[in-house]
Amino acid sequence: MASWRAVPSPRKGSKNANNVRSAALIGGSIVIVAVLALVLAKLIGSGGGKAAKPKNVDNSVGLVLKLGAIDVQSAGPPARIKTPVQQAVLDASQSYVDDAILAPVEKGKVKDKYADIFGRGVRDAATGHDRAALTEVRTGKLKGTLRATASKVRLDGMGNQTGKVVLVAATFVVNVNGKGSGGPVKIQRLTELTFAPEDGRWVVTAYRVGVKRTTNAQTSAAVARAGTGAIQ
Amino acid sequence: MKLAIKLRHRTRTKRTMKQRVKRAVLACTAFVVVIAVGVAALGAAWLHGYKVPLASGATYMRIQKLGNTTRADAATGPTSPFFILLIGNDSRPGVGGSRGDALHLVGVNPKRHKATMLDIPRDTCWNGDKINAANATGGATAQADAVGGLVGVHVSYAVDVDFDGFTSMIDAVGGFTMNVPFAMHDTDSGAFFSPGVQHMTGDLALRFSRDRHDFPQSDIIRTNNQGLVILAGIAQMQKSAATAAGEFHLITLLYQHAKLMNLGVTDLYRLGRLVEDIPVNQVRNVTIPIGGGNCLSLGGDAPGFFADFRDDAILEHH
Repeated sequence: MASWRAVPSPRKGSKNANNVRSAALIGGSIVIVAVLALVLAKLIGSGGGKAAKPKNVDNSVGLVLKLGAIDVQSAGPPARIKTPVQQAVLDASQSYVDDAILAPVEKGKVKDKYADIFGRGVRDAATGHDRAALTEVRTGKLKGTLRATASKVRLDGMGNQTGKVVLVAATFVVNVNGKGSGGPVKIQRLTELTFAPEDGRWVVTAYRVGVKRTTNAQTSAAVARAGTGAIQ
Repeated sequence: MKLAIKLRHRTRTKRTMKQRVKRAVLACTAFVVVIAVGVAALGAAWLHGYKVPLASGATYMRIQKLGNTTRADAATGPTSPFFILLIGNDSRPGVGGSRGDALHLVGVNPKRHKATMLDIPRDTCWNGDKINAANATGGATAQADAVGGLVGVHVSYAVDVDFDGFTSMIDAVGGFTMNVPFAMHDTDSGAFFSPGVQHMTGDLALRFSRDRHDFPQSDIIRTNNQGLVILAGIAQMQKSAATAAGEFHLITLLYQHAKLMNLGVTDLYRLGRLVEDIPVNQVRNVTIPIGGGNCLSLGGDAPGFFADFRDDAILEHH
């Protein structure tokens, strides 16, 4: 009998312990799920968390573009820039820096494949009247030690009504310091390349470029922008 | 004694069952709460990472690509001049119909980075009726046909907006700055302005655009004033779209408030880039030559005026 009488007392204690355990379980689960959700969203936004690097770097100063902030706006459901698209845009941006900016100051000329990154709508402008602003062909080969730095590449994406990203803009700054025939040369460039798919490739469909060149204490500036399609 | 033990044992079993049920209910509740909080957290994180247009549920505006218009994203390079019709309809709560009370035909010449906006008074006669009646009977397509027929051009795009849409869109972009050219004191439209540069909200812009009683030429001047508002709006848009992020934001805003017909994001983007490429001081705002009458006849020089406009979308000699 005594043993039966003794039962309520430990039961009361175990009930309290159960409640504490339940509360801890619920609280802990909430925290874990919230943390997991944040980590998951962060991973999705950053394309898997791996720092993307260009597949090919073709310059002797060792300038490698790195991916920075990514922001996506959507006309429909939430959209994200998939990792292969991020990679394609970063590769094309690196190619532009190598072929149009660094090749002229390293070797004296723009590389032939420079035009490859541009879509049909802007290729004529990029290789024609905007070439002087888009490339360093006018600066020409620099002497001595070249120093080139770049900001991280910011990506802005635009999702369509279905949440599919159809436009990606890459924005970055490139600075080059070297020595020309008349003394030190300083080049500061702000580049915005907007990419869209064309024939299964992400190509530049619009651009905005601003460049400031300082030589012998003289500063010149140039801007170029293009990006329209045919409307009949 | 045995019976007492049996009864107590049964009571204990009952209590255990009750406890089990209670625990099961508690576990289920905890599960549901955890899932709900998890989904909410995921949603919050998702929204934090991405800009999602919040559905307003209201369609303020319709942007329509009309028949026989090559897709703007054909990506074959900017070439031909094209024409956009801007329609402000008079549809508002308590007022039936949707006549095209504000009509502006914009000719864009991408090659020359120039544009001309023809302001067409609503009472202009077309096919024996006032031209604004077309919108009430056949919508933007019929209105585009009527205006295109009057001027002699193919209209590629029509933008149709009502009073609410007009004010909401302006407010959505934070209003704009414009130079009010003259004083206005009109109780009907609620337009009370002193001349000079001022910030316009959607409501103020609507009042400014509706005032016709302050002018002897009534709707003719009002139509031209609406053109001033459009130019100020374009200037504001160009400022907001100075970066790709700004452009994408504007497109997102349009998607929140506009119904797009035969148009995609890429079309809008390319159209926007075209408009951005034209400095506002290269856009002429001109009212078409008007004669007289209740159903306004065209002025004497109208044929030459329209011919000057339709060859390259720019009015050069008038």
